[in-house]
Amino acid sequence: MNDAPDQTLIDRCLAGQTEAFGVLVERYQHRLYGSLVHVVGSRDQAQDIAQDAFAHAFEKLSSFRGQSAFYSWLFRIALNAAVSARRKTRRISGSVDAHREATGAEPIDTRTSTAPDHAAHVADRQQLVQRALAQLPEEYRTALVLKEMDDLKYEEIADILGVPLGTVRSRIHRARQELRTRLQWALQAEE
Amino acid sequence: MSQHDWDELLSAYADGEVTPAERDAVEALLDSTPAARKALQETRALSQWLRSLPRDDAPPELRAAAMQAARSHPTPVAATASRRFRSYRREWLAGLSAMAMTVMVAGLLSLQFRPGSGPTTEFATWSDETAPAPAAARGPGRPLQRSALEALADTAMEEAPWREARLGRERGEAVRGAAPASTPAPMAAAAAGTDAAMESLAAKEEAPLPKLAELDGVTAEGRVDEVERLREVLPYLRLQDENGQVIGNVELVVIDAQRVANQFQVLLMKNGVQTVDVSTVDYDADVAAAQRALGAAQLEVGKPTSSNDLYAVYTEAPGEPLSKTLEELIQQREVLGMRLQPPLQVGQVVAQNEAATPPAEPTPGLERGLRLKQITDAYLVQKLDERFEEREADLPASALDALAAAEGEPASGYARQADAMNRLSLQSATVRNFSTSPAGNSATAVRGGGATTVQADSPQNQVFFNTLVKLPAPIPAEELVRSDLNYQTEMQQQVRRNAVTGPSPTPATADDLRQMRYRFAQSAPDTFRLLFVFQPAPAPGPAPATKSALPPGR
Repeated sequence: MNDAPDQTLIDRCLAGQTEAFGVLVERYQHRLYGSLVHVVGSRDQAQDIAQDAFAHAFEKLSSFRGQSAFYSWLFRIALNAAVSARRKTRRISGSVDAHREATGAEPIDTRTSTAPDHAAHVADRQQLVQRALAQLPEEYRTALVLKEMDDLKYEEIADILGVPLGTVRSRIHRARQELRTRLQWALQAEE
Repeated sequence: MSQHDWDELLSAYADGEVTPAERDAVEALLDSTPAARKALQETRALSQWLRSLPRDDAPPELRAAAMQAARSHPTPVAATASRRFRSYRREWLAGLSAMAMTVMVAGLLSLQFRPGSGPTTEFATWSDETAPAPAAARGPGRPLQRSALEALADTAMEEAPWREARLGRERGEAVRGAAPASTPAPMAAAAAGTDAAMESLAAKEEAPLPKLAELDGVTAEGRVDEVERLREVLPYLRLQDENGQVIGNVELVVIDAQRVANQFQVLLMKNGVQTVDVSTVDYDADVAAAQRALGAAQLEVGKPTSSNDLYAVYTEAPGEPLSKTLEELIQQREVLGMRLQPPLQVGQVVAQNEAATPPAEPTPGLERGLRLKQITDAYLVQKLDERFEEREADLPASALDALAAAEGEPASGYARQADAMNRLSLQSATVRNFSTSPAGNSATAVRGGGATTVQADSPQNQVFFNTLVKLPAPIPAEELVRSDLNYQTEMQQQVRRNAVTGPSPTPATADDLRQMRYRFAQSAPDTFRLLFVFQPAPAPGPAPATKSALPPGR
């Protein structure tokens, strides 16, 4: 069963073999969780959202029409779950402290005078990139994560987000623009 | 192409998401422009860094927790009907596939009030903190129970004619109260099985929507203080509008209602919400007709805007562009206040065409209301193109469809002829070339001196059109009436082509169209139908009798 296509597993689950859904969970949990961590900026939230997403996907499995990939459908459910989760908690204020508390991200000091040495470790750069990513507007960040980390096509991202293709293209571009601004010194150091 | 466009194209090129023509253009640019090559290099470097970010594996307990949560729900079963929806395509929609959304402009205010209708109860439910939560409430931001609804649709198709109203009542009664008098016939027996399904699902739902007044920034009167809060409120409006039975009603208090309403339309278009307009028409003739139909005392057209006039814009679009548009409008410091008013119920609006003789007596129930003067047809083109079901017969989705088909033109032709400036100009915006017969069973388009009429089969068929009209104000509260609104995208119930253009196709039944609409509503769960009412701020002096265009709590 572990190698069965997604649709086969779905059909089996709808036929009453609940364990088939467990295979789907195993198949996509790491990918979903890993992307959600970058989208929502919190491991705890990502875990809760992923759990909710799988539960809702199970509940609504009969409505999956196969017009998109199962993962795309699942991620869309996860995004809705993220919205619901956000409503249940206080909206994060715009303060730096609140942002840091929520995401663990510190504001990035992009002044060239404080830029790390050219020989900064990869781990340092990763941390900086991660922070810059966390500071993007959510809609940009989500589109960029789906593109860069899930390697989805624009069309799939548009389907997940429920926006036109042009909007996906625009958001990814703007996300990159902002990242480029925040990481300009690092990009220059790489040249 | 602007620098921004080039930059965006480079970004898409880096992802391999460009057309062949775009690729050629980008590669030509790269050949000639070092800055472009550098930008591409940086984009690729960023991509590499992002892809090399560590990805956490899911914690070991996630699977068990997910399965446990899943098992708390009933085991899903396949839909009762075996048929899968085929993709619905229409050639004449192909040209419109790039259009994102449409805007319907509406001048629906001062509508007929129906005593005992839903909005009173609805608003009271929202604002009454002691009222129990709706039994069928859903979590915010989530579409309604598709599995049960889909089962209903499939079952209804197989066993009995589809009856949309009952489903709407099933969903809406918990929040709405009494159904409006215009509700269609009760649901067929096939839907009875859905009751149990929906109750079961509702029982297993997560915590119902919190009361509107409990949301941050929303007062007991439903005032929405910030656009951010409106994003939270929008799901309430969508949830109640799954069947097009209710339209959300947002009132914005501004200084110059006409100007801000126009600005709003500009921003909507900027955010991808387009108006589908039909070609221009003889404004003078329409004005004259409108005045005959409506009475000069009721509607003054062509005169300078009164500072007390109200303007309304009806939108049908996902929440994101609506929120974004409002945010931008607020950033322009045009909005003094924003309030969530009781939603409008779907019903019937009667307009009169040029040929109609004004009735000797006002239509019962509408004698105190203002009628629409002209109409504009609009629909969610992109959604229709992508999500509709394929059917054997070429069934028009709207009067515009029927009209376009009758004239042998793709509806996209009408869209291309849309004149943005006309739409933004108030006087032109009140002029459309559609009108309906008094009985609402035909629609006439007037173009270039000619006319094409789409004839409906049943006098009960309603064609829904909206227009942006200037309403005389102030309107005393006791004279304000709210009539029901017949919802265009609920589609004309029975339409056939005008005999002039050729043999009529098999007419769609009301059930067919309701099914199409239902499926369309399902496919567009993120679509909000909102009426934005721009009300001028009250002049300094004695407080007006009512603060709102519509009596609150009715």
